[in-house]
Amino acid sequence: MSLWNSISNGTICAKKGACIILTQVRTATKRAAGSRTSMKDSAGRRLGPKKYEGQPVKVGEIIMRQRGTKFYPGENVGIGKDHTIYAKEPGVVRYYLDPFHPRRKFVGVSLSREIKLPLPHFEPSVRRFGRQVIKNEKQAAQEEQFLPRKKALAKDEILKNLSEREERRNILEQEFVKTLTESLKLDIKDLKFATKYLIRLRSCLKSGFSLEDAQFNAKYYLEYETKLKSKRESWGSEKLAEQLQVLQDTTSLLNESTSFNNKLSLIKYITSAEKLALKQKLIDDLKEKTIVTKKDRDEVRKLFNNACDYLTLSEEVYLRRKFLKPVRPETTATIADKPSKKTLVMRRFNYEKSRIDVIPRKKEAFLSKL
Amino acid sequence: MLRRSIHTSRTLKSANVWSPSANRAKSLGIRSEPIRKCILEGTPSNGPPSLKRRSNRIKYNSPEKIDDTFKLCYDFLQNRAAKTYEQVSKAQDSKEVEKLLIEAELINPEVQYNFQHNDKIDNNPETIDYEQPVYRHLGKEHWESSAQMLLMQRLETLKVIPDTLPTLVPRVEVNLKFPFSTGVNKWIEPGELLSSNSTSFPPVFKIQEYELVDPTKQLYTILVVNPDEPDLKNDSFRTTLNYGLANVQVGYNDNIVDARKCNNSNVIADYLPPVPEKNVGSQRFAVWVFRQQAPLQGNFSALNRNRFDIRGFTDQHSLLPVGAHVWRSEWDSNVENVREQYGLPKGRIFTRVRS
Amino acid sequence: MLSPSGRCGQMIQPVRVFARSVRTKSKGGLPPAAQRVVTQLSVMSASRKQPKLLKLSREDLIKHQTIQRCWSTYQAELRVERNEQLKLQYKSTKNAMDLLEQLDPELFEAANAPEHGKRFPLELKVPTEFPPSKIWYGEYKKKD
Repeated sequence: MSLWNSISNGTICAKKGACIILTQVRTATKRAAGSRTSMKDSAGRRLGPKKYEGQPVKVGEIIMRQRGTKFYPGENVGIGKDHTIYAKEPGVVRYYLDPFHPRRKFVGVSLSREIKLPLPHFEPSVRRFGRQVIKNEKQAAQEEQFLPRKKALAKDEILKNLSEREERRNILEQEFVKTLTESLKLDIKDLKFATKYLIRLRSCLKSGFSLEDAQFNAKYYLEYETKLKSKRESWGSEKLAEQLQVLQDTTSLLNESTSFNNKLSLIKYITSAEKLALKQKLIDDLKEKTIVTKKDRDEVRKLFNNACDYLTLSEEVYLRRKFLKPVRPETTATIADKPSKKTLVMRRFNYEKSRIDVIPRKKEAFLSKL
Repeated sequence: MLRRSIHTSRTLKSANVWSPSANRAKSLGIRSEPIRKCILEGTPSNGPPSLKRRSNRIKYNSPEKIDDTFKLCYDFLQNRAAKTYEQVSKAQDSKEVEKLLIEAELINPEVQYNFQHNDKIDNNPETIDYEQPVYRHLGKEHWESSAQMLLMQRLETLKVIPDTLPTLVPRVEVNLKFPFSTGVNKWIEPGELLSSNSTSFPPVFKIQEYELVDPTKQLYTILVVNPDEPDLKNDSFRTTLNYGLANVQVGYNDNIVDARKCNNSNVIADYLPPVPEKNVGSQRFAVWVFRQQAPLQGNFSALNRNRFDIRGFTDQHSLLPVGAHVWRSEWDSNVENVREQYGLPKGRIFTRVRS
Repeated sequence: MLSPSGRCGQMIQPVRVFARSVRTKSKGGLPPAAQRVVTQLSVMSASRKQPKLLKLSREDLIKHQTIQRCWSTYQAELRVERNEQLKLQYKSTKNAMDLLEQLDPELFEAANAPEHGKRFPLELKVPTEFPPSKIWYGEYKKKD
């Protein structure tokens, strides 16, 4: 009877009271006042078509105001953020259905009365160009100079980079001329062709073409340029043939007598057999050497001096890493017994024992500390 | 169950159809010997050789018992392949042979390795050899999985279809690059906006055929058209022909079309670079590749390049469109230089606002 | 006299309706704790819900793919075999039935009598050497 007692004590009285309030709310019969919002009707939004089927429209005229896309925009019309449909081209308004969207109604503008919408699906679209040639010379020059803001802002920097690149190319050209005439002593008829060809070849190699492709691309570029020049200046076929012959001779001579090393600088031509032999010799030399003193290190480094000429970049990196290890592996020869002034200390986390190991190492273990 | 079935089938015949032999193509095996050994004979104690760093190899743990299970499965699959090869020797139809050869090699882990871990566009015939039906099949699947869809999307959104030709059923993969003008080594993505400098020299095409055709006889025509040249008389646009090649022959592997592959007799229209005039907007340059039924003959110098009717041309020569590509060009400050280079008249300047 | 609990129930019921903004029990569907988990999961991005991708070396990836392909081939072959077996079974049953129909239509009718309500037909029982401790109730029928 505890519940009954508690009711008589008044602990549930509050809830009882709440009950009574609720019944009061429920029994309230003041419903006749009506809804407060019923008087709030807005004015009509003037929706609906503003242009009907067959009516001519100009650019930008509103064809339809609507809530949601009761009509979808078809040919040559646009749709606004409130789904207003407006004309993008002058023409005639057409209301139509499209078999590709069977549940949609479309409004479009056809460019002339003869053109029916929807346009046939597999036919080329009918388009209006809508621009005129500027005949006033002053205006035309002004228009030609005009650039959109972002392009105008970027222009100066682009020009600067361009001139810098030209400068770098000029320097490169001079270097090439120097190597060709002084160190390689080649007998080249047309140095201009030669340097142009070499610069092209170098850039092609740099962007990852194979040597054969790079040579072809560079040569084809020059050939094509020469042909264009002959057309421009209306050369006879003899002169063109002569120029092409010069080009052919120059490029074949350069291909036979020069090559680029893996740092892309011009060197004397090395045949693949020679390259292989040099590589083998280098590897043999390297295998003989063991680095103990500073002198050994410098000698090994000296062996690599001309390696870029006959090794590919990846081969060179591989050999350098193999034979010029910055830290030698941990063998008894390179680990010291106790840390002292002559040793260097390495700390490493040991996962098995979960603590930090201290490894004293002799200075011979480090290439830079020899 | 699996073990038992494999065991019984192994006793039936021990045909090692996938192991290298004299009359088996080299491209169907892995070239790198350590990797091949690692896959077929189990991971060596110092870790998988495809991991280059020693520390990574030490860190790496293979899934448990993967090698034993693999060996079991390899034998099982190889037996299936042997059965398929037996069917190949009986089959007569070349299409059926192709299908069976695909079936026999598709389950070969070495083929899968070669295809998954090598370049598919700039393929090395020693690893991915498109002469082999399997690699053609895999290549086609790979192409259809993204590049083909991207191409079709671009063609449709840019309305190359139907502004140039009604539609396209893509059959060959067409790739495009401009290596001569800038020396940049990059395949162009369909619909890319290119500068006038980069397009100032003719492009190089790559036509990758995946279907069973006779590459020694099949000829192709390549046309580059621009449907956006302004036509002031009609206040509309006209189509111009910018480049045309005909009777081009490509192989399954050797399929890059440049001056080494085609000479002057193949060129039906010299290359005209894109030189959009000021304020005409971006122009689309649609590349169409057609399969020919017979070698094209006729006087192509009489072609009306300024008002080119590509539909009429394809109908006249009964060309089948099999591949396409598209790039876009806009006016930039280098256009005048390109015009000068090609001896073209100075470009007109149009009003910025349409009216 | 009314039982106190009955009275109490009468009185408290409207209170419960009044305090409906406080949700103590779920309104059908999932219990609140489970619902909370579902909500949290739905907020999380799809990529985080997926299990982590296995990091396999190239060789192991190919091995893994080969194993998977082998297993699926094996399963497909089993499936084909089983279907073939079933087809043969059906064919021979049908032949037997056709023969029976020719020989004795009455027996055929009896053999094909519909056994709809029967849950555990005796034919389903696996024969054993010893009788079971629980007797097989073959005539079980669902009570309505």
